[in-house]
Amino acid sequence: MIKEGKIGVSEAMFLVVVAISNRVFFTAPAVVVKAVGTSGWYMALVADLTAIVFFCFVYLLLKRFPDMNLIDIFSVCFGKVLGFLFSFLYAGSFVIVCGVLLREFIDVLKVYVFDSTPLSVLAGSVLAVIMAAAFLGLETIARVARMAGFIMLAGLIALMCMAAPQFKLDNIFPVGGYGFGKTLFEGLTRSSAYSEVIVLGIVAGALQGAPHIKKAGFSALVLSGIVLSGILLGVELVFPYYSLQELTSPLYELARIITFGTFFQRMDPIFLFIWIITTTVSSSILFYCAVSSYCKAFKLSDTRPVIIPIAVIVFTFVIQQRDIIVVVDKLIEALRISPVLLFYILPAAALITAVIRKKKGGEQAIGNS
Amino acid sequence: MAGFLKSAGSFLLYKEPKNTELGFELLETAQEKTGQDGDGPPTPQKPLPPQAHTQKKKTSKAPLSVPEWNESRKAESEYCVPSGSDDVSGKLCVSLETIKQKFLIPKNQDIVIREFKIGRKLEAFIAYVDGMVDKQILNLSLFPSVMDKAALDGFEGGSAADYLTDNVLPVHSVSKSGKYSDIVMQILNGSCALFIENCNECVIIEIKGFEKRNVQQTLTENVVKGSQEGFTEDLRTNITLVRRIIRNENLVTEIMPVGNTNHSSCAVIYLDGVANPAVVGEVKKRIQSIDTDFIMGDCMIEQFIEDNPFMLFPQILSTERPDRTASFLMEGQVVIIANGTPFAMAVPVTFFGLFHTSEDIAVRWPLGSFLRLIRLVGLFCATWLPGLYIAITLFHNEMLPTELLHSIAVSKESVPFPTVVEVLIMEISFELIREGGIRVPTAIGQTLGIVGALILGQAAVSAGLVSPLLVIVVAMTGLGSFAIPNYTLGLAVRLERFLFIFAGAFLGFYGISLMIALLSYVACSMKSFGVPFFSPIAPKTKMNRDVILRLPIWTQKNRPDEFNTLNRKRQGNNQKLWIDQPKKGNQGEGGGQ
Repeated sequence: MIKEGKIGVSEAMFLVVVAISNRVFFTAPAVVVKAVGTSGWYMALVADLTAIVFFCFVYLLLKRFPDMNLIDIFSVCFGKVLGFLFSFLYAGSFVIVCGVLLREFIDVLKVYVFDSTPLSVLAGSVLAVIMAAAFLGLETIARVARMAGFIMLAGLIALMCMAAPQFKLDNIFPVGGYGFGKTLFEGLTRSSAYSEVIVLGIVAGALQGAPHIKKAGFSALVLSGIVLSGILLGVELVFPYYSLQELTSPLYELARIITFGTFFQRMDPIFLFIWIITTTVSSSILFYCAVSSYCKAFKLSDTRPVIIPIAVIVFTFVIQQRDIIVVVDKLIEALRISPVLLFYILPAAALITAVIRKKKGGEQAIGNS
Repeated sequence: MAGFLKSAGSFLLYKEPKNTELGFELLETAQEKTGQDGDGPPTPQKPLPPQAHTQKKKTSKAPLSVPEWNESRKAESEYCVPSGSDDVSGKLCVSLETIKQKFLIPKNQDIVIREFKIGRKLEAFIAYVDGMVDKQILNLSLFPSVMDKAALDGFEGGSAADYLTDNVLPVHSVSKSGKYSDIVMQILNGSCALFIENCNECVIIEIKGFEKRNVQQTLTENVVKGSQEGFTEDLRTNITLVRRIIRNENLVTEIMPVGNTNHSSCAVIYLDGVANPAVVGEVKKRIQSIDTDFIMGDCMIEQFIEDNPFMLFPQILSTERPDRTASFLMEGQVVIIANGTPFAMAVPVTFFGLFHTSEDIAVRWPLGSFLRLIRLVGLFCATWLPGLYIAITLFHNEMLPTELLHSIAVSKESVPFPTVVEVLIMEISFELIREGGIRVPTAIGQTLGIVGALILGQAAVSAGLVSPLLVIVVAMTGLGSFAIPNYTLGLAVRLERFLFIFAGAFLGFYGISLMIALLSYVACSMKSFGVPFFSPIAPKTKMNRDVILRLPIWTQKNRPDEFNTLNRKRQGNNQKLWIDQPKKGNQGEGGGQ
């Protein structure tokens, strides 16, 4: 087994919050508004509630198998072959999720800042940092995630406060968007936006038992819901929904239009720091989960030999995509469905299987035997 | 003509060439070659004792058989030839020969051996290192006492060493030893060894008296308020300075030897009942495992015992101030003081501890907190300012107001270099000035600093080598680095600055952000003696009221949580106690009504 160390509740919570909330920096607000119109801000809350319901299954599963992570639990519930297959799928999914996030990030970066810098340079440099993070391990990533989480929240609050003079209440009307039914449906299907909460299942061994997982998971989902909904509300208040859906990075545009006198203009480069650091941390989390899942699936005791090969795969995936259109229209849309199946339905199925097959972990198993 | 003939003759005739060797040449011998091939630690080369020269070919020494041993004892007693045993011989001449052999006398000329008779009856001799003992005590107190006619008046047989120790020697610290190896070490430490005829033990008299620097003001950690004393190079003096502040019986000082050849020593000091025993044990374990010939002070020990030798950040805090050392001990940290340098090291340490100074607690809390924030601003300037300047001028012009952008563009118009070269020229010049200023004598050093800063900067601008704005940036950077209180951290920041310059030049804010992320990862993975370097922020532990800001002294009730001290509580409800107390005096019983 790989040694992942120990992390606290707040560190685990921020691992999830940073991984989830990071998506507001990119195309997510535009995609949401395109789907549901002005009701995007509370659609995020509907999706959050759905994710909380799904996470209950994950939590119950982890509670049933204390001191075990999801990968190990799959082996117990589904048997070695199926368990290995699902674990391998998890590792692959994290590689894809990490790759898509990086490609989206780099494309947005190219659109706004580095138009002539080669894609491979931007991807390679961020991957070098991500690899270093993976080498240093989960404890380090969690500690940095906690710090980055606070910086991100402070930055977003500051951004919203500075953008407040640009708010126009008319922009969020009609409140119903394209209809409450559509908002509800989109909210249910887009709950995959919060699927990064599954990170807690992968690193469950580093947390101190099910109560900590429960505390970290639910509080992370609530906080992420508030952040996503608040940011969506903020950008909707500034930009009319018809122009918002055309923007590649609404939050970056929001930072651009902030003006205080003649000196404080164009705050976007400062905002760039928060954006880049949190994205690096977020990608590090996903990359580490890919490495960790892979090692756990193959029962490897050391993650280090796997890091460079997986980084090469992620790099190849990132530079293989044709352009940002492919990323937004195909990959991100595809990631709406598959995480729901893998990260929500599969643990629920494992729970049901465990109940049917009367599989339990830890002291419960000893008690039964 | 004679010269011409001589030249012609030398041209025609053959002459033996003169020895054209350039003099001394140090060549590697076969013995050295074999010595270097071994994997083991280097062992001090000791010259062979006289009798060993007859057995040059023998590489290992077989144990003596009983007849051989008897023979050697016989030789020892009859001819005063040392047997090679480490036990002190009863025959004085044997001890004398042994000491002479061990100290290579007469080749070695700073070992003094003085033979005399105790009470004009008993043969004895004293051995010491010239210059390391107090000659006043030796001449005026020790010799008159032992050479006095009545010195052995009450001696009725038995051990003369015991008798002298109990009745004659007028010295505060006296001990006995029966091993030559121990006696040699004591002599090297500055003690005086007294050998007595028919006595199997030597009396070690501690009358150290070598020259040392007096306690003076600190050179690197000056403060306006607070104690002005600094450590010296002498271990004993330094321990005394700390003990004078912490007058507590639980303050433990453990002296440990370090350095296989120079036989130095260091003290591990901690407050028993407060410091975590695991940390104390770890410190002792790491010091004991140092296997090197030479240790000169705490800086070398630091490099042997730190957790992450390849990281830029210091993991051990070094201070020149006894008051600060005492505060570390009271916080539950372990302090190491080594012989030879005027510094003490405290472990474990966190990143935030490196920003604290002893003045923070000497001034009132709002002022102390303000000073801390100024230092953090200094850190920001020293680390990032040149990198940010490059990133803004190369990649992110849009964030500058038009007027400022215009003035920067105008000032850079006449500069022929790319921005990164311009910055590197100035930064390296600044580093040269700083390094040069430290190495040259103080008076010239200050002048050099001023000359360097004013003339070089002004000349560089006039010559069109750098832009005026860059001079301001570099000056701010320099001031920022001076504000960092820890010298080692300051050096680390100076080096990191260049990383940020290259990152900014390569990828602008993106490069700088990635470098920040990378350094954050590295810093968060570091530990100092088991304590995470970024605690109590990452990982989060119970926050003390003296981490980033220095809050009121009476609110700092607990010791830092991250050190896991045995006694967490530092103080009670001080402020509340006197507020809650009933009023006394004039406003007491009568006035209060």
